[in-house]
Amino acid sequence: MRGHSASPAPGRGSNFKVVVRVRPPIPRELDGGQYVNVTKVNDDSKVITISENLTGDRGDEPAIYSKHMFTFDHVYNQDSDQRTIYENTAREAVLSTLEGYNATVMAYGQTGSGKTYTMEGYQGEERRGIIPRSVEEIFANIQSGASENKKYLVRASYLQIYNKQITDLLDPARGHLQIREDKKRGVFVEDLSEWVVRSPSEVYHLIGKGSAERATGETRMNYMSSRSHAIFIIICEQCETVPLPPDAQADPSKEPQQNVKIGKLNLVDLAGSERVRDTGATGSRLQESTNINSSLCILGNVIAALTDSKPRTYIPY
Amino acid sequence: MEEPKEYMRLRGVFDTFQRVQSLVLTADPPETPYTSKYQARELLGQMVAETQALTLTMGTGAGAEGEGEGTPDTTVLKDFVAYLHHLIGVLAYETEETSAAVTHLSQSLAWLGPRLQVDTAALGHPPADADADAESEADSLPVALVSEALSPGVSLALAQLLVRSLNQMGVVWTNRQDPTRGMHYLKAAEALYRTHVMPHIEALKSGALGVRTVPPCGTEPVPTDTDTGSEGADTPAGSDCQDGWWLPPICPQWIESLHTYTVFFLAQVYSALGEASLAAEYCRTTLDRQSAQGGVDVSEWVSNAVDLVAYYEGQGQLGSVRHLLSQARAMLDSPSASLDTDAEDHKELIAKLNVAEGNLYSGVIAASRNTLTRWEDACHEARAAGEAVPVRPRAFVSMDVDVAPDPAETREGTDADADADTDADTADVALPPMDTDTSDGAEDEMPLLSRSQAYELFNKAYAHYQQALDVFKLEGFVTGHVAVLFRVCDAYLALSSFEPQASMQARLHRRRELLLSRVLPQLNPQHYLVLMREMHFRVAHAQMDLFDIKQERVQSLCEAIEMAANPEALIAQLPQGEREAYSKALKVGLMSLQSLRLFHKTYEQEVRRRLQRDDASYSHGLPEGVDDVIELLDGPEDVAGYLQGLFDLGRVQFRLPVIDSDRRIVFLEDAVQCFARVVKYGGQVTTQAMAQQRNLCKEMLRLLTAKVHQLKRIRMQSRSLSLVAAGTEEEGGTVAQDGDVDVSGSEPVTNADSVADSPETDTSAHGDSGLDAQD
Repeated sequence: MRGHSASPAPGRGSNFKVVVRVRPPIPRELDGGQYVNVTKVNDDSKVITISENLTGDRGDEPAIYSKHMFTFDHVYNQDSDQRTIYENTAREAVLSTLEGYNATVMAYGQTGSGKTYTMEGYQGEERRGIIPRSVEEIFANIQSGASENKKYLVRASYLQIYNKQITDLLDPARGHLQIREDKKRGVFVEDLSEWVVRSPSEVYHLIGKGSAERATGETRMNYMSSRSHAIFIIICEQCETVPLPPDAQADPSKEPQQNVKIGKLNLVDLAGSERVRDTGATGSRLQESTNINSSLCILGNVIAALTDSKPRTYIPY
Repeated sequence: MEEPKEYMRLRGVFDTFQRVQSLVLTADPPETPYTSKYQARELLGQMVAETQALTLTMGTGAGAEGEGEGTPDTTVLKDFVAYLHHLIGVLAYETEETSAAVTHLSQSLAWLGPRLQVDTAALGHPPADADADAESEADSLPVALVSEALSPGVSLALAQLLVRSLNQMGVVWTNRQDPTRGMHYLKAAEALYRTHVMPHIEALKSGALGVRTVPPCGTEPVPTDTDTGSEGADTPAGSDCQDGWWLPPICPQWIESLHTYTVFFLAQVYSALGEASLAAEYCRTTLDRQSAQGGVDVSEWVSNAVDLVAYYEGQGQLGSVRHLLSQARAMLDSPSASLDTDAEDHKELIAKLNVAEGNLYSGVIAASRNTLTRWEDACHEARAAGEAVPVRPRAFVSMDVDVAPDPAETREGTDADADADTDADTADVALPPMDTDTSDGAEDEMPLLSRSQAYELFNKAYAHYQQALDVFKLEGFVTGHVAVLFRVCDAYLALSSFEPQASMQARLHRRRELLLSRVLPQLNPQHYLVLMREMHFRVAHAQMDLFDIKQERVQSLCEAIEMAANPEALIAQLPQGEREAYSKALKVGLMSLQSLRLFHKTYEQEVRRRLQRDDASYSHGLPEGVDDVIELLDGPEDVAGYLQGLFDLGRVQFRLPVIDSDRRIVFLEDAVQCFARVVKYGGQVTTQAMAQQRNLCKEMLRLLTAKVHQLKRIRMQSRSLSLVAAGTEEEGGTVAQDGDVDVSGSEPVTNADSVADSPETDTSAHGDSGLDAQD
């Protein structure tokens, strides 16, 4: 039995959470009558054990299993519902954006493993995914928190990374966008459009518009498998005006102080993580799959660099 | 003539192949993504059963009288069955049944291996010692020479099938988290290519082997594993039923591509095994093969080459660096490379290449400096031991000649691959020969450069860096821009060791400092804290190098000050020039202190952010139970960096030529605190360098503590004397005036904001080890 830990060590990098969601079997998998559940989630919901059949399909021979244990911040079993996942895992990050922090929620996994279901879900209270719940949570908080002295501005962007190229899904005419670094603002996508939104429905409209633009490729594995990474960005800007004390209000030289908080929420739907050989890809599709895998690799490196303390390059001697 | 019934059955088997091909290419709906592959697998299973039955019939039946196990017919059928198992294995892997994949691929290997005298059975059982040296294991792979029983054509055809199975097994086991086992299969594939394919590849291309060949099809790099030999292949009845009649036609380019895949997979496997040098070696082989085979995406290739160059540069293998960069330029200049030179991506790629080329020139200067330093150290040790001084390292042809040599005269003998090098600049004479051998992992020993050669190389490096900076502008490419500035700084530093004049050395260090200190105030620490940390550190070290030079000029004066009863009076009597020199030394020393403190501040800011994030009520200071901010740093690397800064802080403060005895004591006490913290926390860092620094700090602690006591005693005595004198003079009706305060150690530097505050005398109360609320 081998063990692995996907979580950062306790006390370090605690602003990262890595969770796993086990997808229930789909009807096709159950139809064959050979379905075997090879996963087991421990009672503490932190460890998943995967049993691997080492003997393959050797007919009558008794199966020999090898077990692998993996530890995460949380493991959701097949029965977990959308609400629990949002509230346990994403909600904290979403709320932090209203406090001026930047947060990211991303889904990673093979095509067909349920990334889009987890992120977007379906209509209806029970089946809604992280994105609609996040949007509604943000606007609900704004509604309850807004006042004459506290104002909010919410903007949204939607971009796609496809074959190492970034495009603006809400303004495709802008074409091939570039990642840049501003001396003051840090990393940003140059020329990415930002749309002011006033309600969840306006956000959904933008998501629908952008989704239509997303590049999808038909692979032998999955017609509808997403071949691109998509990032929906919600920027929450909060401006709170601190009134002057009564004795200073008569002084025309004094102006009320304004506290501005800007938080950004990145909701990421990554392309399928299947390997080139898994898709049996050839020719131009091979090129496409290669790019998907290499860009996933780069993203993986970025994540590793962030969780594994920080990139250390400074001591030059 | 009526076709034998066995051949008719075989024809049926081949007809099934067509259906398999069609099923494999079918795109299934998302709800049932593997349906067609499952069907293909099933058909292939039926083909296996039918062919095996035929094998028995042909081996023992009336139609094959006299034939038994191992006759050509049954052997060929078994070859075919092995191939079918290979295809089932590939499909099983594609449908995520890796165990089944291993089973079928093993069956393929179990037959094909012995056919080619390859003991594939041994590959599935890696040595018990998982930590054994991967390279030595790979050297004893069970691959024999070409079997003489097979014709070269069949041997080649079977070998390519075996390579495909071995490659697939390598991929399967590596993805099953067993890269050692995967490595064994891939190394066998590599060996098989060398023994069974490489010797015949030219004959194959010329048609001398009598094997059907096909040109490469479109852009497809390798045949898919589910390609079958049915299309266009003769059925047994149509052929004379010789060995290999069922084999698909061979494309020489595909065979080469298969081997390229083998080495590419090996690069990944060795990377997974932590064998960096082998991984790099196979990456380089992959690039070489891609370059030779053509049809490669030039931009992608150059990008990979530039990334690999960074590895070789770090290993000091500058010959390999030069080889790869030369190849990259050749690829870009190739008329067949269709590149959009106006595209942003292309411009950035060229900028990266320029940086790499600048690094090569700068690296040669630095390597030469290291050679000189090593020789000087060896001389020093030899003299100390009373031994003969070692021979000076060899120099380039133009050593000690200030005029650039004629490249035509010196080129021969210094460049082993001169024809491949189109850059005929005179500085090339000082470059290492291009290293085209991928297996040589040794660091290149650089000959000594002359000053003029060093400057010439520097200018070339600088020109490349400038071209890179034209693209990597600060606005838009902060990290990239600063990274190039770091490289320019490194080049200045390397060049400075070839500069005999102290004033010129000082200029070079000053440029290092200015390059970065001009950018620093423009950056937002909210986003670039780690980058700024390195910038502060580098600025501090440039200033410390300047301080060394300037302090050396006033060394004798500093010693006199140390001994003088009235140093202020001594300074006041100095000529203007010496006073200025002294003043400059002090100023740059104080500036380096300030930079080191800013360097430390970046760590403290990071810690504070973390504390605030974890506890919203946190305001400032160290949490309860924490004695020092070092205890809150994020891992040994951070601790090492912070302690390095403390070591430097202590060293500078110890050497700071301050006149005022009170301030001198304050600086020395702070130096004591710095060294004490290095001693206390240095054990967390297990590097040899830190162990040495820690020992040095222990020694310094002992010396400095005594010195501080001595200075305090002298100060007490001096004050007692002053009081007595004041009392005497008061009686006479006069009061003594202070000396010249401008040179007392609190003299302002040009940028008043950057002057370091006096350190706290009592660091135990908080001092530098805490988190300041004002930071």
